[in-house]
Amino acid sequence: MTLSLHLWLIPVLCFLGFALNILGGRRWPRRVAGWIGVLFPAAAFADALYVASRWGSFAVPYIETHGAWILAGPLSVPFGFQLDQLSLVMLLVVTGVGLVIHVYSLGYMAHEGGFYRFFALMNLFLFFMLLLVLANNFLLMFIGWEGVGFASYILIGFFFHRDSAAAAGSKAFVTNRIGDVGFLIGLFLIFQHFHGFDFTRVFAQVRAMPVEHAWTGLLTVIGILLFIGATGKSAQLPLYVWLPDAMEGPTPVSALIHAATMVTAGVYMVARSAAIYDRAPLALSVVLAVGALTAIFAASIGLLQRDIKKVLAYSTISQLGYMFMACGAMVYGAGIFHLMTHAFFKGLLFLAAGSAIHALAGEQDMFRIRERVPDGLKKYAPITFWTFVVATCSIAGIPGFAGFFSKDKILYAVLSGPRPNAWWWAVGTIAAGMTSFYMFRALFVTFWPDPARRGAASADGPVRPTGQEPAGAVTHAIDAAGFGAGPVLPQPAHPQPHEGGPPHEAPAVMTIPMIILAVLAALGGYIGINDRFEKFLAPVFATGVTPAPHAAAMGEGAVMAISIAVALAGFALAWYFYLARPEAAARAKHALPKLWSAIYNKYWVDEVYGAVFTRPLAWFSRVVLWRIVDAGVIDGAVAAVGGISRSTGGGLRKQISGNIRSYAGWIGVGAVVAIFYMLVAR
Amino acid sequence: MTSAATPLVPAVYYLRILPEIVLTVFGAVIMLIEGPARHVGRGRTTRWVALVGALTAFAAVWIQSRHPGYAFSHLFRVDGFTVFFGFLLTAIATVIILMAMDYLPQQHLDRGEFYALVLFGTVGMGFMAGATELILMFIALEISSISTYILAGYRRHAPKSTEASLKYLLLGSFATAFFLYGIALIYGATGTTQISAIARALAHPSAGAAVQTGQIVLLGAALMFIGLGFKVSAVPFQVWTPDVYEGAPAPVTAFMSAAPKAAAFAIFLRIFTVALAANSHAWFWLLWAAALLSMTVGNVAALLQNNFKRMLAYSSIAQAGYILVAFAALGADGVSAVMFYLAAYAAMNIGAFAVVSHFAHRDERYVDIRNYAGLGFRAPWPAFCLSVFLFSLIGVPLTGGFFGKVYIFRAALHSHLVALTIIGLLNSALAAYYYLRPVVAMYMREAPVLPALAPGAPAGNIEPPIPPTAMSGPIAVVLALCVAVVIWLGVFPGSVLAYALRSARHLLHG
Repeated sequence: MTLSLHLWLIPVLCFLGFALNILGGRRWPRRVAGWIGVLFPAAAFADALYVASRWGSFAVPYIETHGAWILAGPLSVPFGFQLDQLSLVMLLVVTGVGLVIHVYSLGYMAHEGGFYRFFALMNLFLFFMLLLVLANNFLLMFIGWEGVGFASYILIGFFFHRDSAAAAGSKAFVTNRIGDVGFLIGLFLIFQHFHGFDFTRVFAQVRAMPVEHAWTGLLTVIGILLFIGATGKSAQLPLYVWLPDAMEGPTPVSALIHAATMVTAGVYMVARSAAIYDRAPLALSVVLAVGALTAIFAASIGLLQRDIKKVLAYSTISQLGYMFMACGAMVYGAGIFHLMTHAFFKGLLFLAAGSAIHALAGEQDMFRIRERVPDGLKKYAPITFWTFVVATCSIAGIPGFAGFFSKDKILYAVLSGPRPNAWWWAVGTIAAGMTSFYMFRALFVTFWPDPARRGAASADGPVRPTGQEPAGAVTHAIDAAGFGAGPVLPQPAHPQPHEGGPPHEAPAVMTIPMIILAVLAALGGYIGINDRFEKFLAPVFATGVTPAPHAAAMGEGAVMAISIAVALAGFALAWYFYLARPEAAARAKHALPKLWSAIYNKYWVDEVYGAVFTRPLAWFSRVVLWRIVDAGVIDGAVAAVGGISRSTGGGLRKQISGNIRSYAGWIGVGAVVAIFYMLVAR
Repeated sequence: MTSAATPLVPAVYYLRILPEIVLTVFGAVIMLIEGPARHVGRGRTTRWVALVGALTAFAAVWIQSRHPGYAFSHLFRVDGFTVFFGFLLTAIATVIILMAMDYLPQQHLDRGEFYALVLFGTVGMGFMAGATELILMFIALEISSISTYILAGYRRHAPKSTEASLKYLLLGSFATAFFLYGIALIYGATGTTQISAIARALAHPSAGAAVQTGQIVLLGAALMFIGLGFKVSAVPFQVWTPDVYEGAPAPVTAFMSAAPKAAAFAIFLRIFTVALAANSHAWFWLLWAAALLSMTVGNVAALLQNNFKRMLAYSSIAQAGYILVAFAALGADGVSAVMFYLAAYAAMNIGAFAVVSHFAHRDERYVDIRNYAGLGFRAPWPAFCLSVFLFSLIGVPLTGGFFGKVYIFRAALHSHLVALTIIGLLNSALAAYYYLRPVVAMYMREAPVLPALAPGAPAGNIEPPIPPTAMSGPIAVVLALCVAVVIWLGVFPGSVLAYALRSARHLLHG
């Protein structure tokens, strides 16, 4: 080999950052711990840039292996890293966005306890994420896959001693394990049939296989199983439930893990396995359908949430749905493109929201933020405001911003790509309208002055609310109308000033990362002009399957026009309901109370899951197993043993022997069944 | 002429059972020291003797491994399989002795016979691992069982402990009777108690009596299955496990959950995959059902346990279920997966029990999971170790538990046990919930503030937090060792797996 890129160095740098902080961080001043936590990812990013700068000087895919990792019988897996166009994009996004968010965290976490631990774990997360995207085989990728989940679990739960945070962490972990059942079985099938985990080796054999048209085809089964894993990690239907709860974690964690990187791992994995999916049209259809349904389902929930982070969480779920739609439509390049722009704008949205939350000492309810800052947060935190505007325009698909390019590519590809489908295109377009609505709603409510209050200030003004009630009561009515908490919390009629003065703009260490991401969220889309981005990625997705050509259903210009119209419609509606005519929103709520309540309560999915899965299991454990197999025996025994002193031997002996009889009875029953089976029933 | 040249018992035979000899000698020495000494804290000398004994036995396994072959008219055989279990069992004994050094003084139970019993029990288990003859297997099983019966009741003043011992003794004897009857029937059917001879006899049945002996063999297999199922706590023969694990002293529970179980699996594998291999179609579904039931019942019942030891007891039932999945997969893949998992399981389970044992305090007062609230900040290192063990039990990558499960389910799928694989993986997803509970308690809950009461008295429903406890040297060594093994098996599983695979081939192909 003429050139060694030493790819291993990139994850190892992040691991070093983790190790240093976890071992020594407690003893060092915060400044030192923070610098270590930022410098190592910075070094990793610099190395990633160096690797990118050498592009062209090595053969792609570039693979480096470091000895035998597992070598036992038929199983031989090296420590191997791979760099191709796809992993290069992921590498740059992960280290770049990761670095920016680390810097932001210096400011955001400045007053939190466990500072060094936070940076240690964030670095650990980057380590696993880099393992995931650089691995050259499925097994190492799975290690990274589980590792990021583990780091995310710790970061959600370990910073706040709140029951809800602990529960959210556990929920995320357990839900992901369910997805992993599918993923693991898929991996075993791959190993069984292709005798290895290496991408090169597996995909080479896959390429020799024909396209399958039955549900039972090997590649179809593998594709669906892997996708089940992806629905867990990337929060798709039906396993998305953990992501909204994961917002319990600190906001930079939400930005890095639950928006920009970890949750996109499922998309990366599906795109990486393009060779498999291209030959399994039914698996592709599943991916497309689940992606589209998730996109619209989550977007609709996002319409009415009050908590700004919850809005962003559902938005993330919805946007991930778009990425899967792209994969399902066999235009993986567009999916990865959206993955990248999403990392910019959604990461930024979280950072800006975090800055707003920070300014108001932890307030996450948009309507309460507005109440506390009656003349509009935008006046006090202009940088936060403007960056949030840029990100909102980007995600809403306002022409010219990054999100517009990538989302439009996906929608156009679904309508007239290799696997055209007008229905899913329509679903995606409607969801895009919803996206625009809920994002502008979040923008207007969080940053603009309260329109109802403005009416009160000039009593005869034209925007005077309906009826004669004073303004405070109207605000109340709108709140009660439930933009919309279920229970209306008693709130003071007068806005509360921020503790220690008016809300303030964040320090530069937080605003500069936001500005960087804002530039990317605004301009990042131009990289994809003339399909340059997709052409760059094309070699990875050239899997030897060429779909039949067909006439485009609609020109790209027409599709684009519809997308723009929908985005503007969402903007206009949000403007009408939340700035111009706030009372109209209350009326709309009263017109459709059932629908309103269904959406606000997230269609009661958590409750249904609880009733269908969690509670029966607990019931089974408590009633059936505990009462019958276990405690029916134990309760008596232990109570008796605890109560009666050892001197009253007679009674005790009776108790114990009673137990033993019933235990022996169980063993006897088992024995009879076993013998009966062996001799008679077999 | 020949008798002069070749002695009746060649010296190499003694080398082949050297670990057992070493353990017996050290055990006997402990008893001799123990007898005359009458003062409290007598264990102080004997525990070092025991530790040296266990370590010497570990080294002796290495010498044993240099001399493969049969010993004592085909009663015992040294092969890769025997050696694998020999290393595992002596390592477990060493760790348990270290654990007891911390626990026994804390409980005011520091007497030497505890250590002797651990060593004698290990002798029995060592013979179990290498025995190639049913009678020796039975005797070895009894040697190990009797030691554990006594150890389970070692907290003589605690009713729960004596109760555990009595239950274990009575039910254990009941189950052993099945095993013994099974041996008798197999002998009746084949005319031999030699594993390889039984295998030959069953592979080529004499034409005339085929049907008749077939039924007897099947009955014998079922009976042995019941007896061994009891020893490895497979459902439906697991009923004793929660009570006994809860009542026995914590280090003994750790010992029972790892060593006798591993040894019982060794016998189980030798009998069923070698001697009864020809009848695998018959007993396969017994294994299949036991695997499924053990995983499911163990995990679901563990969900709501508050007592840490009881939770780990149910967890160990579930873990036995996973191991049975690999067993049901058969073949070298399955057997090696069983072996690898037993090693990983021993490290993570003993580690978890070591933490529980360390924090139990006098009379095992603090064994409720709620006692662990906030422990992560008051005792960071033990809490960290416990988290590693629990994550390994879940099967998170970079821990031994992960590769253990990977190998098990890979082998299962390879043998087309699709349903069992899916159920097993779903079970391991479910299990994450209860293994996380202690982690949540340690790191995500504050220790409750007790109302001012008499010190140590439980206040209503509030479980008192564990008071600060100094780490003793031995327990620190135990935790460090267990964490090291768990991580090592999780990062570099290859060498152990390769060794297990070779040993499994030895076992299956002679």
